Amino acid sequence: MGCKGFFCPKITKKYCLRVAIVAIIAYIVFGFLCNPFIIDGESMMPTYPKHGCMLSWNGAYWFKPPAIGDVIIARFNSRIAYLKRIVALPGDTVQWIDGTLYRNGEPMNEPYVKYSSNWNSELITVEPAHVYVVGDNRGMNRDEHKHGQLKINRIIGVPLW
Amino acid sequence: MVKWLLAVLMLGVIVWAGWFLYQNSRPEAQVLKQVQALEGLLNFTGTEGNIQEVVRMEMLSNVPAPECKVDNIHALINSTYNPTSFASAVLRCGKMCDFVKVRFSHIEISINSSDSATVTLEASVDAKAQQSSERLMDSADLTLNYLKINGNWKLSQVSADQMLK
Repeated sequence: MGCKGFFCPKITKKYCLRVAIVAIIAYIVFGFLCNPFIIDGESMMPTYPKHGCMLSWNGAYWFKPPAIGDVIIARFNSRIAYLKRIVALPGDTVQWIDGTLYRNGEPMNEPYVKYSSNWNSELITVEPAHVYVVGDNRGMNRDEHKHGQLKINRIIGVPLW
Repeated sequence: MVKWLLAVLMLGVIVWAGWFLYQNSRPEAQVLKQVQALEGLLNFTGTEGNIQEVVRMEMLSNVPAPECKVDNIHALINSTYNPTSFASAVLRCGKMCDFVKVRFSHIEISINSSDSATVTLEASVDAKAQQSSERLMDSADLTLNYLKINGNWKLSQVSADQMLK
């Protein structure tokens, strides 16, 4: 098919059917399975830079529960979502002492954290049906960095890449 | 196969870009969605009142950031019984914003018995300050318990569970 044929195709029954099938597949794929997102924040730096684009994979937790270290996309509302990393599961305890994250009293190995911090917090126990999420950019002021316990049913999926 | 995949991808990007531009160019469309959600609640509670104009006015005028914290949003919902108090609650400005978007989604109504019902919904607030780049964002799961008194549904209790706590 030449360039002309691609941009000015003959409108035939077969062509219309093909367009309809492509439209339905696109609607299902981009509406329910892989939602497109624009990253508008610095909390996941440097793993996910600001103004990046990505697709979600919404089937990530159909057959398995969320796990420690997973990067997840959580629904804020119908148009905005948070991109965070799971650092604790239900029943775990979490505490920051001088920038080090302690889970169940043990310091966590977090190779994805590239910026040091001096975060301190009280001991928090993660409630049932919740996970504790935080971004990778700990160089931010803790007050400006949205993190905390999140209901598991708010998780939409994981980034595709 | 590759051609098909490319076609799907292209169409997806085009549709998404179009939808994104359309939504951003028509903030009222979002407002109307919220209004419909609110009206759904109002119908359920059997409360009368022209909330639509009030909400439209709030969304298109300057509204407060501190008042819009989800901690307080249940107060706003409470006051939807009376559009005037809803307006005044929203307009009690601590800080003026360019634009505030209040959204309600995932509304579920369950009738527990003939005289008791529960409504759960997700509420979010996205407010931008007028003279700085500050942006206030908050979201919570709200639970509204209703009791039927003398044949009318009345809100008996509201609780908010912050999205990130």
